[in-house]
Amino acid sequence: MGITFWAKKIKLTDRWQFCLAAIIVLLSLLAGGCAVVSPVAEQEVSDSPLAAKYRHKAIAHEKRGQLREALLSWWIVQSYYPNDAEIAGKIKKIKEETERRGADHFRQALTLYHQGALKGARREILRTLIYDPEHSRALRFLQNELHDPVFEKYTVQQGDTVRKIAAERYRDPTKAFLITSFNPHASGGGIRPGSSLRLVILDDAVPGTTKIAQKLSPPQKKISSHDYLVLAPRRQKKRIVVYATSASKVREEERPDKAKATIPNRVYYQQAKELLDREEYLEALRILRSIDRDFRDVEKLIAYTEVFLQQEADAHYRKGISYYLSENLSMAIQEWEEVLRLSPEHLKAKKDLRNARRLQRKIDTL
Amino acid sequence: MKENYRANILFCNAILLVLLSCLQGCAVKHEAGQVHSGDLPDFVRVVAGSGDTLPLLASRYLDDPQKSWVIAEFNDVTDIHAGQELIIPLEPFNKGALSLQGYQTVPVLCYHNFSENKKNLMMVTRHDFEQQMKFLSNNGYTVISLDEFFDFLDYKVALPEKAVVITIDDGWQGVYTIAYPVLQRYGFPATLFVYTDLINGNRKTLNWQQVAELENGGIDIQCHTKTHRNLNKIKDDESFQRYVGQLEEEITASTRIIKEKIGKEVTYLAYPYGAANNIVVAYLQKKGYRGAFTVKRGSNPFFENRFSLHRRMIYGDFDLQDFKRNLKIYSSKAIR
Repeated sequence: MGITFWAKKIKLTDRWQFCLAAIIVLLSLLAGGCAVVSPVAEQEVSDSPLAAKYRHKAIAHEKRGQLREALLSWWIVQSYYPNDAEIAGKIKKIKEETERRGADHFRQALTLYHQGALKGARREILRTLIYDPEHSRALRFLQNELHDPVFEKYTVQQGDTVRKIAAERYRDPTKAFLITSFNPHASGGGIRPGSSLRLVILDDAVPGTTKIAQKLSPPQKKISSHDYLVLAPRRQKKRIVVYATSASKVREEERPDKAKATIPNRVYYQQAKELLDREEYLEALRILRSIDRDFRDVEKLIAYTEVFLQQEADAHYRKGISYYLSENLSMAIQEWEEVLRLSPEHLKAKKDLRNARRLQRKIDTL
Repeated sequence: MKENYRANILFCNAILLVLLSCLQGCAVKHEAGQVHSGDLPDFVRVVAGSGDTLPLLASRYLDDPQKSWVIAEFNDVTDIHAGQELIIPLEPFNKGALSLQGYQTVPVLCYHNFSENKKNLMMVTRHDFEQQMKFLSNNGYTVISLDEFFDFLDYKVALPEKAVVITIDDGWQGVYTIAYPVLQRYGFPATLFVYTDLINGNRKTLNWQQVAELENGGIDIQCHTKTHRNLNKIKDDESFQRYVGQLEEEITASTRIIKEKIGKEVTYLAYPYGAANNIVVAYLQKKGYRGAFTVKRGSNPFFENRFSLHRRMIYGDFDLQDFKRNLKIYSSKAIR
């Protein structure tokens, strides 16, 4: 009826009326087809290997407590089953759980930070980000609060001058230029009570600061590089100072011929001694081995360093055993890796590390 | 009659167009669907067509063929075939590669000089360098630029699992004659930290024309101070105030000279001898530097102090095993 009406309206011939009817029927069939195909397509999609793969992944992550990864996998699965209430419920539940855990770890981080336990605070911040990668406060904290600060904030008091502040903070009024250098508004006596200044913190790598520290604290026995060889390993002081002298800086062509042979030895020797002072024994040994054996006491230093490294490797090996026995596999692996770093041919560590890694892989696949 | 015929044709064409649109709509719906969420990364589901490759898909969906690793790593594939269904995350899905097990660390390799045959601690031979680059290329490592590395430190982007940075210090001639052609052959970016007093064009050192050529050829030129003095040592005849003035000058002058000579605004510095202190860092921050490198051994997680970044010196006496040991890309230390 409708077709005849429109055909008359646009004056179609019978043949064209037939064509039009056929096209409309075809169109209806296709439209119906699409409607029918949709569930079929959905069925095909539902059976997609990728949907199955991510469902499997999601369950495995959940079992391992990797909630963020589980959430992402469920999120992908949900794109195949947008109307599945069970999946939606799972996603909601995991989301709430990750948010809760993220918030718990962040609170714990703040507590540790205020207790001065910076390493613990950083660990907790990282755990916060595992559960909530976009936790902006945790991120700001990690980037700004957990590194050694370069500046400290100082609020100007009544009667302060830059010299007075320098005398108080740096134990030296002549260091006032440091204050004005980083606070241009403070030059010319232009500081007001209540205003803020950024004072660079003189860490112990700044020349002369050790002397200040010695004045403020009782003198300590100076430890020579030889003493380090018989002392137990200590944690290195956390600071930015590092080592390594570039022997390539010696421009051989500018030196007299006679000195050519001894200059690299001297430079390397000095570098090795600095490394020993900083307890970087592996590096020191590598450099010592590149020096002529008969240069100064190189032979002796090499022997001592080798013995020390072996002792240190053995100590780490024993720690690894102890972790292994207490079922802390990852720490045991770490200790034995350290053994092989210090002593690459340590046979027991090689064997035990191989076994521990195999065991770890098995546990991971469970 | 003729007009009717035209009207008929137009009418039928319109119907056919509608029909084709319906068909196309069905096809698109089945092939790709983008999914948005407030706090999870958006992704798109794609069925690879014939002729599709990872770089092609990366170019189509991530606007960068270099990002093919994103699709490869997310789907745990190295290659794709027609009809294969893939998930393409449209945003970084794990910026620090942080999990309960650990986190990604990026090794920054530090070279100094290169030679044809002579080797010592600071000089790597052409053969050894070639072998090391070949090892990176054949073993799935992705060499990234300093800008990409700092975007990772800023927690803005995710990096390929095996990302590594190559840096070279000083400005010796071997960089131009030996390292540069090798790096170009492998398509690896690298950064050259020059100390500007060395760029005098004598037999063993680079000249500014060569430095400009390196910069134009993909070697990122950055700062290694002016004279290469140890920034932690005060000279015997130097007052503290003069020492601090010289520190500022080391940074200011070298930054200015590089700008004048090759038009480059530097933003990264390698401390001479790897040594620095808070005054140096304060001046770098004041001059707008983004970060600086020591030569303290170790790889860098995203939360590393960007003014105390670790590098791994690659010595001339390294064999390939030594080299491999310097490519640590994962750690769990800070999370335990």
